[in-house]
Amino acid sequence: MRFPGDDTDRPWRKSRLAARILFRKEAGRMTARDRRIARVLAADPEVTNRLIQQGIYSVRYHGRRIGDRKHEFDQNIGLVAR
Amino acid sequence: MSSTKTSDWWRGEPDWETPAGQLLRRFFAALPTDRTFHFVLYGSAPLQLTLNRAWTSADVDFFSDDDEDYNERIRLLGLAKGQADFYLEPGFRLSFRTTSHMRARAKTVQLGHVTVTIPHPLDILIGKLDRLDPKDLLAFRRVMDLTGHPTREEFLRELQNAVDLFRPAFDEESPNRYPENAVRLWRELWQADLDVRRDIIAPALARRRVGYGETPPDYKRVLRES
Repeated sequence: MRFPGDDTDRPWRKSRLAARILFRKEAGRMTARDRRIARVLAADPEVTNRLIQQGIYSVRYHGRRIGDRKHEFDQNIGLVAR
Repeated sequence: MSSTKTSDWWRGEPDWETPAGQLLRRFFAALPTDRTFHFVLYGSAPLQLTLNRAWTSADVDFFSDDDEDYNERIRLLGLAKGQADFYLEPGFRLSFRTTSHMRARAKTVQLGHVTVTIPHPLDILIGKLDRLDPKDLLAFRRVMDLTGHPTREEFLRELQNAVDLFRPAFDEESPNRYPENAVRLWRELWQADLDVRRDIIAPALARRRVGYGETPPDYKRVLRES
């Protein structure tokens, strides 16, 4: 149950949004709106790499969780040398 | 005893007829009965109470869970330092530097309205490593003679789990003696060299990193450059 004024999960919600945008980047489906929001989230101190990573493990993209595809995902978005 | 499980080589059943037990019971009997008390023992008293009644000690160290100062109560009973040959020495929880396992493996007993936590000998010995005077070194030898524990491997693991004891001291403190005392302990007890950084700090930090999970890549850079 959410309580008015309770923003304790705000960093987590924003980080999940960042994770979804990264999934769309991997799929080559980023929109101009995604890019704009991505830059805002990148500058947001509440959004951390650790929370984004948890988001990547947590959210479903096209109905699937990342599972053991995480390393491949990192490679696909340009984070790990191939 | 060959088991390495800490519960297998220490039952923690206190003998209240020991000098420490009698002194504590005298103190507890004088406490008000309209509330409850919880004390944690440290120093040598837990070893006398649970391992060998002949264990010599000048005092019984304890602290209270409510951080109340018991000095005045003890003085009124004539059980304070300078008043009795064997005396009570109240401290505070910060006086007992040991591992985070202390509460979990301690023995907790109830004596009327008083709860007493008796730490495991491992935690007592780790607390003694802060000073490691000759009498503290003898305590290590005696626990090992009586129980066969801790072995060198067991104690190394314990110190890895207590890695934060090896951090540098605050400016206001004396230098932290845990690192040099651990090296001395290894030499005295096991005639072996100990490299604190290699044998304690590095393995402990490696385990801590695993516990934190993998270091995340720089996803924010990807977002920024998208």
